[in-house]
Amino acid sequence: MAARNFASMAIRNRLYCKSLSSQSFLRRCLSSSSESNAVSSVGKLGTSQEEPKIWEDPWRHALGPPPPPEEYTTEFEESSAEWKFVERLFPHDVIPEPPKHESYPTPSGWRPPRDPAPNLPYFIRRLRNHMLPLFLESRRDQLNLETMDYDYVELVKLKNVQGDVFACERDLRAYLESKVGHSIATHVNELQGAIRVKGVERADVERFLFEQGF
Amino acid sequence: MGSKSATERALNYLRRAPRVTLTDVRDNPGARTKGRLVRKKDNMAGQQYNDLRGAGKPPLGWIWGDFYKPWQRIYPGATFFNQDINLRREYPPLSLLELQRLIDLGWLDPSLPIDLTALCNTRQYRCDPSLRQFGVQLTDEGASVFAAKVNLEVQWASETAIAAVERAGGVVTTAYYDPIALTAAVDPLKWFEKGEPIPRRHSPPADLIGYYTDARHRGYLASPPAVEAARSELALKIGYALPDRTDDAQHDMLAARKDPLQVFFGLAPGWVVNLADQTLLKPKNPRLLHYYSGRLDASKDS
Repeated sequence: MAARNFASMAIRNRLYCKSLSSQSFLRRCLSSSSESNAVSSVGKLGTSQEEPKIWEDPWRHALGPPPPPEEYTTEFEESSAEWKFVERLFPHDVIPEPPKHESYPTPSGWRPPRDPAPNLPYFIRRLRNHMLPLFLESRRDQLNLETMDYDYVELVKLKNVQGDVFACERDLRAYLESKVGHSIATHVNELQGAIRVKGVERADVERFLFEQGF
Repeated sequence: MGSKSATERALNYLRRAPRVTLTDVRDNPGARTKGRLVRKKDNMAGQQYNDLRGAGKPPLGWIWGDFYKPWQRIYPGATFFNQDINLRREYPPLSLLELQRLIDLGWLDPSLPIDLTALCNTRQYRCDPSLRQFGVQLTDEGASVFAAKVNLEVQWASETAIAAVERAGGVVTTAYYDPIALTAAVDPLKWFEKGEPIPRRHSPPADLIGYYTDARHRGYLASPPAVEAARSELALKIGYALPDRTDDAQHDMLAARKDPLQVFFGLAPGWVVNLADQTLLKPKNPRLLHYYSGRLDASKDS
């Protein structure tokens, strides 16, 4: 018991002495800095900031200050003659206007909308990329009990219908039924100005829009 | 026998005794308890746990956490099961109909050579090199309606697509872009803004050398006379008259080809584009010039 107490006391004493010495060291530092403050505080601070402590990076102290970073320089020639080739590489910042073609439809089957617009109770606006507002949708149908798999139906959605949407739907259905020879199902969403068609292909609806002049 | 010393007798005994190794060491009975499953979730290996069930899975044949042991290494029978999934090259398709539509709507200028950069600059076609995509694949949908006379450079083309372009009077070249050159080619503006020099195109890898030196694929490394012969051969095969290109107003445009090292038309590899001053900086350092001249490639020497 006594031996253990003695040992712990020894440790405590050693720690106390260390703290004392560090305090005196600190005191010395503070006094010296306060003395030198009067002379030139800026210069002192600058040198103390620039010189790192030895114990922070002994390797650096042993090897000396690092050499300045090597500079790779190359001479070059500046020219602007080839700038036109760089300009070719810039992307389109706006959707380009379609060029004037000699005849329509173009080889890919595109036509511009008729100008002036057709006199109808409804109007179908093109997309901003000059394409028709036709989209394909797929909806799940009933369960096929033979294969125990769901059937899917393909729908064509016509968007951007303005004005009398029901009149547009009537015209569209009359046109498509005369073309395909059977009755088709349509669904009108008046608020969104959209018509869904079941049982025809997108190309058929496209033909209707071109004939109407949209 | 009795005359031998104790040491000698002990050595003799050891010599005849069975070898004792680490594998003979056993625990005392009852020294360890057997592991028991405390909770089910501790032994799920991330496979059926709620958070991980919906997460992205590796392709079939690969196991999360141990990509050193795909199936074709574990099971000798599954030799090539998704083995090269990390090496496969993807070529996002572009049909002739889409190409014609881009030309019709003014996205592409047919009076200039059309390459991957022009296609990506329309923002209607996308190619992402970081997804292991290697450029545009020209497919033959719309081959019957294709009518534009273009100088086209793609990375992969079917025979029907080549025939459709050449019947309309155009030219097709298939060219390889290594991933770094491709990164510059799909978004040149981004590359220039980084201030990096225009890269040089490297040679195709060994399994693509055959494709790009073949005149039937209109490879960019094939010799021009062989390509001319292949053009007339394809015209005979499909059955169309090859348009005469000698007294053509667009002859120069149609004859334009990139150098095998070039990424952009008119711009040499190694140049730096100064977007602020609208100038080009051409290096003069002989080491740089040597690097960008492509003489390091053995395939170029031969």
